[in-house]
Amino acid sequence: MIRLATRLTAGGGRESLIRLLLTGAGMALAVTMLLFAAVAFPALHAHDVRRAWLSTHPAGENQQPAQNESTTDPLLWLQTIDRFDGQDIQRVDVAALGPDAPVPPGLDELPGPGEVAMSPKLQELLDTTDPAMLAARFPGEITATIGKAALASPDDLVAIVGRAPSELSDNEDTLTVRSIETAPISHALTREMRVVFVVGGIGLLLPVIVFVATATRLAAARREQRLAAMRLAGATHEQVGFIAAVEAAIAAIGGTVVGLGAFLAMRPSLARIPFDGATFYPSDLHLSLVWAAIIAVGVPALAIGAAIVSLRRIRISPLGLAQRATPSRPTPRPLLLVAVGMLALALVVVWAGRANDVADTTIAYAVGVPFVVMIVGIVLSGPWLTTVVARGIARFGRRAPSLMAARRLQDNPSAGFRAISGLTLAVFVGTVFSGLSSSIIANQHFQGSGLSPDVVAAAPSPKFPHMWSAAEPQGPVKVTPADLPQFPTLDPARTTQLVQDLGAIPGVEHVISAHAFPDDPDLLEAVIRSGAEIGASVLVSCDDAAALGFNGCEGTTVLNIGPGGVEPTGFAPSMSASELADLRVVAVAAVTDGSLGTMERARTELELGIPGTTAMTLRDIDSETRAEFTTMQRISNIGLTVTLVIAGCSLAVAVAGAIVERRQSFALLRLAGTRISDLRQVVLAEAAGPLLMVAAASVGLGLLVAYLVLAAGAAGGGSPHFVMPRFGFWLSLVGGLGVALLVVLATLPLLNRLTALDSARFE
Amino acid sequence: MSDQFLAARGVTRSFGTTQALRGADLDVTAGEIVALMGPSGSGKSTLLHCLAGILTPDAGEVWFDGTRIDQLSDRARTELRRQRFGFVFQFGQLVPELVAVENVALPLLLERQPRAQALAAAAPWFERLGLDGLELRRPGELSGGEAQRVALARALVTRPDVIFADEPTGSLDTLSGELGKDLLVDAARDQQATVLLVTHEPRVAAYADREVVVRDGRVHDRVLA
Repeated sequence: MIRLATRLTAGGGRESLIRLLLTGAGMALAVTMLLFAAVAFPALHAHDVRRAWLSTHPAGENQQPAQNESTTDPLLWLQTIDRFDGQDIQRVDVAALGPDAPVPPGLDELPGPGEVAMSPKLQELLDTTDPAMLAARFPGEITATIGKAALASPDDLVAIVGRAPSELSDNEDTLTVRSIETAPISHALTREMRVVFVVGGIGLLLPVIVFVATATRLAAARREQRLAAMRLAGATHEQVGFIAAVEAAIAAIGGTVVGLGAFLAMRPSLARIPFDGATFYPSDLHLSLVWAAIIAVGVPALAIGAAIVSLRRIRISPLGLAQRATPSRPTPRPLLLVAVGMLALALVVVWAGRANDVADTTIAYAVGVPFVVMIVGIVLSGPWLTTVVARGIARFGRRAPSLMAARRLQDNPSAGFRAISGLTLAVFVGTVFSGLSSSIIANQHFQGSGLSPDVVAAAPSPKFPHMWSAAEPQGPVKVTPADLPQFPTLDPARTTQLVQDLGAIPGVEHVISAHAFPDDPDLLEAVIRSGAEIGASVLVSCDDAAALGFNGCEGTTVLNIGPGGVEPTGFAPSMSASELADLRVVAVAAVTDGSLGTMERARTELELGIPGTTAMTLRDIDSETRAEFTTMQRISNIGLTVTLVIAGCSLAVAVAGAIVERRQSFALLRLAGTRISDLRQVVLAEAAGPLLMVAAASVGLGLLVAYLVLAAGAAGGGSPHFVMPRFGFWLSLVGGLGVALLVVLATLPLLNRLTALDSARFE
Repeated sequence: MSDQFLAARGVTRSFGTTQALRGADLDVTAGEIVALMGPSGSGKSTLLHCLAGILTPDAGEVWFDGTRIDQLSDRARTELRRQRFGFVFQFGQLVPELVAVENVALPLLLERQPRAQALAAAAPWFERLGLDGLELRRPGELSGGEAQRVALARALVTRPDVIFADEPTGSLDTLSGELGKDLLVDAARDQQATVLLVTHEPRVAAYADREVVVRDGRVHDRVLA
């Protein structure tokens, strides 16, 4: 029987072969997508594992120390994030206090004083850059190359700089460590983002399943005649079912093998895509045997199941009559499932916001179940929505094609919706994903300050002597200068030299010295009374404030220096230049012409002049925030586009199936003088009408779900407020739908060919 | 050029290695009802398709109302079929999703007539062809005879110059078949339409003004007694 089925599948002539190839290609695409989805999380985890050493804590505080701390010598460890042209450089200055100090991964031994170990990419950058812009920041000789074990990505810029203990011991940010951390800490995916990724994963999976099922059913209409002839020749219903299953299995197994091959071939290229902001080593996209087995068995099983189910819906009699079960009239009742799912999801989010000790996986499942309930509700209510759309088309469509399309949709709304179900789900899930991610991002997004983007500034971190707490008495509190965050004192001679050196760099237009607040309670009180917010505050002259881009100076400007940038918050009573000069300098900034060379030279000078600090630009602060934003948006938009394209292929296959099914009817219409353009419009209206209307409904529902989730999360005390998805989402949505419609257009030549009067048979 | 309303001149047509027509000649005058007879595979359906501009002959000429239609573009032939020809076949000519009155009105809708106007033009045919009360039925809810009469109404609704009918009653029982033929001939005469009727049943051919026999891809005239 298998041999017969194989011969029937492969030996059915050119049309049969094309059908087999199309179905197999669909399977291959689905398998490739699933394999990439399967390796995505392990690949992100591999990043976290290799980045773990950068989360090393002082002695006794590492979660998973790489060394037994009782057997190691102390190591002084000063970790900073330097920057060059918008890229992060992870820098760790180390000084061993004994021969058995712990060694970070990727190195055989610690660099000694005057020695530097670097990642290959950083060495490459140094080789191609003016030394005054970058190399001068790394005192010493490059003696080692940091290995892959310490690099999340082959593009990572990392330096481990050997120092004498005396060079680090005075810096307040220096840690004394006895072991290196190995516990992976997710930098790329926050807890919220993991939940969002569960949503995205479901979004990718569903259109793939719909695609596999649709591709398998492509041949159903043509297969009926052949199987009916076999029934007439004496084949039992079971034998006919077996043959259909073998046909589906051949395409699915072939497609799975091709999909696996495509995955392996594309893996190096995919590794170059920085999903979480960093590229991957190809080996990071490692496919576990379990996942390979699940996909290799699951996809053919799904295809065979779809073939058998489609056969059960069409009872093939020996007379070749395809007797279809009358579709039941769709009702809007399944929308209740959507409402129930929405409510359950909101409750889960409230619960998750309050229960901080719940594992991520538990939250993922708790979010996943109501989400699946909603998706089931959408799938079940889809035919009803399709009926509503069809009624609208029938009522408002003025031409014959729209009437024919509407009647076809009304006649079998389930089939009409099945064709677009993949796209509908992709749009719904994509909208929820984008609604959540854009809101999370928007609430983290840097608010910006008036600081000119061409300024490079360096200031050591201030110490916070006074932490306000809720336990303190309410009411007015007297704030003294001692309560303010205290900036470390810079070496005056070195600072003077720094200001001179900065001024000598071509392209540096102005050098600014920021001064510490004087120990003068009256001045502080005057500043507070003027309405200024006091934090990590410094004072600059009006000229310096203007050079920084802050105008309208009244007296001396008070600037607050925070992690989000520099902002003027008010003004202090006017001081003379000499009064200001008497205050100690705590930060230095250079206003540049904005060129890369000038800015990086200025940064190098600042970091050499104020050791242990990282000079920052507004671009760095903004790009740091934007990097996360870009990563999340990129993942979101890539996911949406990919799912829309898969779903578009699914729609195209369904449209092709519908054309094949009606070739005789369409051919007779053409014969009677119907324009081929009218028939094209019938096909397009059947696909595009419900697609666009149901997609619009999906977007609305997706936004509502995202809004409710965030509102519920906010009620639980955790989540940010809802923000509409940004331009990239809408572009991906419209672009993806456009591509899907273009894919549908690609099936129209099939309409021309199948209904060509020369090849059709009329009787 | 042919003086005849509809004419085939030395038409040949092959399908692969099978030669269906081998120089067929036929002249049909306006308003004439002609029955094309012949055994299976003789080429009668192929000749009808060539005359209707559905197929283009490999050689020879096809003329309609002073125009050589085998040289027209596909678009022009499509327009000709839609505007001046009507078709009735044995099976499957109704759109299953449309109700009967919409099926009849379909050619008018395809001519961009407003829907209300097209449906109004289609409605009288139901009474005329004995289909009263079936306007809102789908093709699957009609008997074979009723469906064939709906198809006939659709062929006639545009008041075509020529009706091409290929075994129009072949799938019907005798009574339904007779009724169908009566209606076809009556309506055609009423509208002064030319009818080209393919059949292999002599009693069907008896309704025609003239009977021709197609054999081995050639036309042999047979004058009715």
